[in-house]
Amino acid sequence: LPAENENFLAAMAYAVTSGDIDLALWLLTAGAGQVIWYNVSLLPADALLLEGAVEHPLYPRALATVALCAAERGDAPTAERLADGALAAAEQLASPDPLVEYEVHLARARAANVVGAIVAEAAHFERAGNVARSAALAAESTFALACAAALFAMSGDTDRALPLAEEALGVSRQLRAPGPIAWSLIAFAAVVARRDPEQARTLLAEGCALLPRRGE
Amino acid sequence: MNIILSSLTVFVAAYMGDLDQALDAAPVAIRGFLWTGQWSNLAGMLNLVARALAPSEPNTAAIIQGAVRRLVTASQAQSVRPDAQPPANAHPTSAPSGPVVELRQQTTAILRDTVGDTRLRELRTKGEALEEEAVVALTLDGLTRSRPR
Repeated sequence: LPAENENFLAAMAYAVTSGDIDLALWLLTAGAGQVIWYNVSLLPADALLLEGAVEHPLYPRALATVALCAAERGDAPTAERLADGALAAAEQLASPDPLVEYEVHLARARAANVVGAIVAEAAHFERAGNVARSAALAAESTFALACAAALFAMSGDTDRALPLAEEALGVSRQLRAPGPIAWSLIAFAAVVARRDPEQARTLLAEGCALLPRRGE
Repeated sequence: MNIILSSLTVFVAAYMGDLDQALDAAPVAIRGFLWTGQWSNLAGMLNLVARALAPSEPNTAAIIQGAVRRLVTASQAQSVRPDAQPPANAHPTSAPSGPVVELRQQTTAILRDTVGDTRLRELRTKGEALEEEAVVALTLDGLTRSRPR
């Protein structure tokens, strides 16, 4: 992973230095790469300033990505500004990009988290899940709906959480991906912890069993 | 993802009363939230751990409660633009009566019985003065003592 991290950063540095806007915005918005951008010291905004960036079809998604990075750092005002910019830029696109709105809602959810606004955070995750569902983005919808379900459960609103948890678990089982299934199971456990502790215990054990153990 | 999943595991386990499992999953979440500066999540996690520690480590649990107060204030000092919230017909943005609050109230009741009101206030004041790193170190020490290997 450290080597991949270095390669990714080097590729971005090359793209920005050479003015390769296609490569720079692709690197910035590539799903797997975002983990890297969350962890660099400065916001990865250089690519947004390249000539031709504003007209590029990936520009709105890139703004949303950087908004999410800002939110992850606890910089809610910057996240909001970038999120607004992403939505405005997306309106200019010839064909809609559902990932823009999805990531904007994620950014707003994370910004709400900074101040402990748990219900607002849950509501933004729910919106992200709705956007992802409409766009047939199964993995994204599972993640967002499970987050929303867990957060609504933590806020005490299990009635609102339950259908979201059921949907997240159903979709994640269709995907047959252990990570999303584990995530959905544990979120489901949070929802039923009060009304059915035995079911919650079973769901929690099943979810934990799917997670990699330390050292694996 | 593992930090969030660990924190969710702590939440579910604590809410079900499975304190061993809550304490087992807590260190990853606590360290993760400290390292990433997620103070509101760290505060929530510490509230849950305080509940789990209260019967065996009441002094530590009381100090943690005081530290949580400081963390919550720190997170609320940061700003979110008001119109970033969902519409008024959604839900309130805080959860004053949610499960975490319920568990905190349980902790307080246990601590009042074990250390008494005066000592509880003293310990909370001590906790409120601690920096984030110090309260995390104290919490992890308490976790280690309560779960001998």
